[in-house]
Amino acid sequence: MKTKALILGLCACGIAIIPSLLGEGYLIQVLNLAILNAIVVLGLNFVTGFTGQINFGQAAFFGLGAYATGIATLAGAPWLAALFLSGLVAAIASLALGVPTLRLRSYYLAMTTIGFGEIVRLVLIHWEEVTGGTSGLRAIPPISAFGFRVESQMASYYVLVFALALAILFALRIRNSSFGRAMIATRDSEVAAELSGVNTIRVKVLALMIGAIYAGLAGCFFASTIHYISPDSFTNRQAVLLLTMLIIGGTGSIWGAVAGAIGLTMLPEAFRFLDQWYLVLYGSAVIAVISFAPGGLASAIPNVVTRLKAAR
Amino acid sequence: MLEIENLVVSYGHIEALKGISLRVEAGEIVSIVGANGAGKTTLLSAISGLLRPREGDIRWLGQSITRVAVEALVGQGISHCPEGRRIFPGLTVMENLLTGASARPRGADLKADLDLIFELFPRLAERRTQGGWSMSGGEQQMLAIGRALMSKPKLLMLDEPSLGLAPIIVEQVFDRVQELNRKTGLSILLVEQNAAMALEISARAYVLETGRVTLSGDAAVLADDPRIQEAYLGG
Repeated sequence: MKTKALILGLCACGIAIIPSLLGEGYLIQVLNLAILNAIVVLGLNFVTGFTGQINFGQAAFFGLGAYATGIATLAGAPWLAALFLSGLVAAIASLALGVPTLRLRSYYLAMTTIGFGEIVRLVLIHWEEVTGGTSGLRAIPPISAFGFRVESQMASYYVLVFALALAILFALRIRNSSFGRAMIATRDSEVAAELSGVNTIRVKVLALMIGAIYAGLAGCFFASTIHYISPDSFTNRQAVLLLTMLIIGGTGSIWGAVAGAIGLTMLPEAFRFLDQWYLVLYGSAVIAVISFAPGGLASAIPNVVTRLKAAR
Repeated sequence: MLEIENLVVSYGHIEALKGISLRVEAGEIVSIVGANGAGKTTLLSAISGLLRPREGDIRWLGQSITRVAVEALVGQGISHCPEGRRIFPGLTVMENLLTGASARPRGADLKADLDLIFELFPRLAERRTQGGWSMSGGEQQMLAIGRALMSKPKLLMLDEPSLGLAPIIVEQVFDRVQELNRKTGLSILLVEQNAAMALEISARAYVLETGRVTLSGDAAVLADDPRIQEAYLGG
């Protein structure tokens, strides 16, 4: 117990001093992006990791949230109202997608969300007078609430870490609630879940919606910390990347989702010298994880630990 | 309690059940025996609402239930323990059991139910924090029955509990089922290929052949019937 507290304390100190090591600049911005991705992937983990439904729409929900905040705050709306709006827009979109498709079993959600991602991208590009078209929206106002304005990347970092901590705590709570059990039961055997009295359609729709709200809220933070959004950040390519982060980290694992998202956002920076060879490394790494640790890194680490202990 | 009249269920053009009538009374163990493909699993699926009948009626406590949703029926006291056990490997033993109580009202006291299940299957109590994936076949069957009991059913339907289990484990499971019926007066509808075991613990039985009831009556009498002996009891 004491060592656990010590480790937690050291982690907290580490997280707190990172910005002063990096300084204001590009790297801290990448780190902020990694934290945002972690929130989005945590959301994806509800519907894909816990409930077992493939969702290619997570990047689009993220985009809807970002544009909702961008458009609203540029029009002069207070930031907190924009935050609420971002979550609401994503939730409504997820219900519109989920209610008709999740009544059906199997891959309908996957197919529908691919289409949805493409529609969102096309609307963002072509509805120029509202979305700014391919050039996107610039000079989006920063986070400001309760009399604070979060201008710098370093200050944003602390806000985002706090948001991620809340996102993790909420996810842990849900996982250990009856709804958390119902999601995993639905994934493991839909028939047995129904026979146990679980309303599986409701569970699937709710899981999709909670995940979409995570993405929508992260979208708001994205718009107001990066200050610039364009359709490129929310394509189906990005959706696949988010799924990859979840698979590498470990589907169904909260800590895996966080680690996968942060790792896969930061790594390209570390391997920048590889240039386009990075994609080769990336592809091989994905294949390696899927073949040697199908449960992702979250499942591989405990295995390695037990093996090391056994070897001693 | 449960009355089924002239039930017809079909998959596309193929009739799996061709007009079945049967009943289960309070406190009875009734078994349905028959070969693979006779329609036993189809019958249980129709009762629990997983399949909709084309003709006929299923009445539960006097009410027709052919239009009731699967998860709603669990709340009305019919619990179906599916073929192949279908436990949730990603949940712990305890979580599997708690999921079985999904149809119970929020905040219901589950202690008595858990106590009963752990008394029947002490193995589950020992392994309550372990993952469902780590359970052996026999343990999975115990867990599946325990999970089905968590909805506090008035009728428990068991589909092939002996499937894939070693004979000694089968015997244990059947002993426990009988004990459960004696202790709590729970009605049990048992579907089994293992006719000898099923008839031994049942009050009455129905023999199903290609979608029709060909014989029915007192289980002890059926067990001595030469036609049954030849077809299902190997001698």
